[in-house]
Amino acid sequence: MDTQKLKSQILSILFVAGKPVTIKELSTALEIDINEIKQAVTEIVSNQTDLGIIMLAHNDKLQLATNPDNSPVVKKFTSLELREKLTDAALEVLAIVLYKQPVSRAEIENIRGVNSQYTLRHLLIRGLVEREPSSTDRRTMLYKTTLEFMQYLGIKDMKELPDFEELTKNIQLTTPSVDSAETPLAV
Amino acid sequence: MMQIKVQQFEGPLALLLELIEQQKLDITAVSIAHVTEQFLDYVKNLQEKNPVNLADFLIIAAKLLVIKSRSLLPDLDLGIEEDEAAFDLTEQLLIYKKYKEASKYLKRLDGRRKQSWSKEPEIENIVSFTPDPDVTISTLHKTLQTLSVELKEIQKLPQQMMKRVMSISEKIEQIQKILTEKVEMKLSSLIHGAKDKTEVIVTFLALLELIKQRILIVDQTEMFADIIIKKNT
Repeated sequence: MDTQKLKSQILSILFVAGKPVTIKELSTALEIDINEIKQAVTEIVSNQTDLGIIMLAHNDKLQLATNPDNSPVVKKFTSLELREKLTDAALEVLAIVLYKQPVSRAEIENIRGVNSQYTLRHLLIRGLVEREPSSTDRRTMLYKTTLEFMQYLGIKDMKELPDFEELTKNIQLTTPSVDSAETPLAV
Repeated sequence: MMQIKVQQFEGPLALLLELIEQQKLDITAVSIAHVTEQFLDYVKNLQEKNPVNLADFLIIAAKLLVIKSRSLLPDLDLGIEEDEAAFDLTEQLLIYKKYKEASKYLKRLDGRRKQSWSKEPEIENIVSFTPDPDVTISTLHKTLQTLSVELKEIQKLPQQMMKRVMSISEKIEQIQKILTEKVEMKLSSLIHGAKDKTEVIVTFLALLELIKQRILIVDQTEMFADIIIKKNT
């Protein structure tokens, strides 16, 4: 199928679905090969920075959302409130899930050195992370970030997040200099 | 001595990192040993105010003491397992610091206050409750009873944790008591009576505390010989 047509169809389906749609569901509905769908998705995502309606994609799930750049006007027009800020502890757990996903609670707790059960539960309730059983050991739950996570932080494309190595390259066994440059935020 | 403002620390690694950075030190075994005393002061304070997180702090405290004792007694043979555990702390701190940096990045994103919304979020997020059609007064009653029993179980657990954790001071009293009866005692016989590894660690911690306070002195006639513990006169 012509790529433009495919992209157009994907967007229409996502609009009417309202909730997140998986790539597999799209593939079945449109009778198109999964890789073709993924390719179309990649193209949509890389061309949408200034559009009013953007497509969020993570873990093979897709959803349409407002452009975070327009937060102020959306908020003004509707009665939507900005979601509450997170505590430092929650941000720590979230950072670990983001850069290590899929990750188990034990691995998270190994890194933080504290029990993280309650913080994880809080993040689950807010929909910022989700969990599923590990394929190798069904008793262990593995955590990942969600589309809601992207909406919460105003992320349009997961690729705009810096690599872990890039982000932490200044963190070594020596103390950082007082005015270390901060990794610039994608505008 | 550096004053630690009574700040709530999320966990022992956060505290340790703060102590090291306050002194503008690098993360090395030496600097870790250096801040051990302040760390233990904080833990002691925590014991009174907030015992819930104490177990996490004690694990790190034990590792700190191992590192510290190594720096004071280089010939101390702890066995390979303890050795590795102690020096893993440097690695662990470094990794923690990296993720903390990552979380600061997320915090900056959070601070932009730019968010997206999707068309039907409210309906997805509204939690509604419809009771199971099989629910009757008696099943509800039975369920609540089961629940209250389960809740009692959960309440019991923190008490058990606290019992174990308090025994450092008990151990200190125990050691002091033995020494009022005997002139001296051997470390091996002190550890011999320990029920599990935790008790050995607790004994060790108690001993170090008593030595620090100069209530006890210890003596070792030759390398790897038993350690004799005596009251300090």
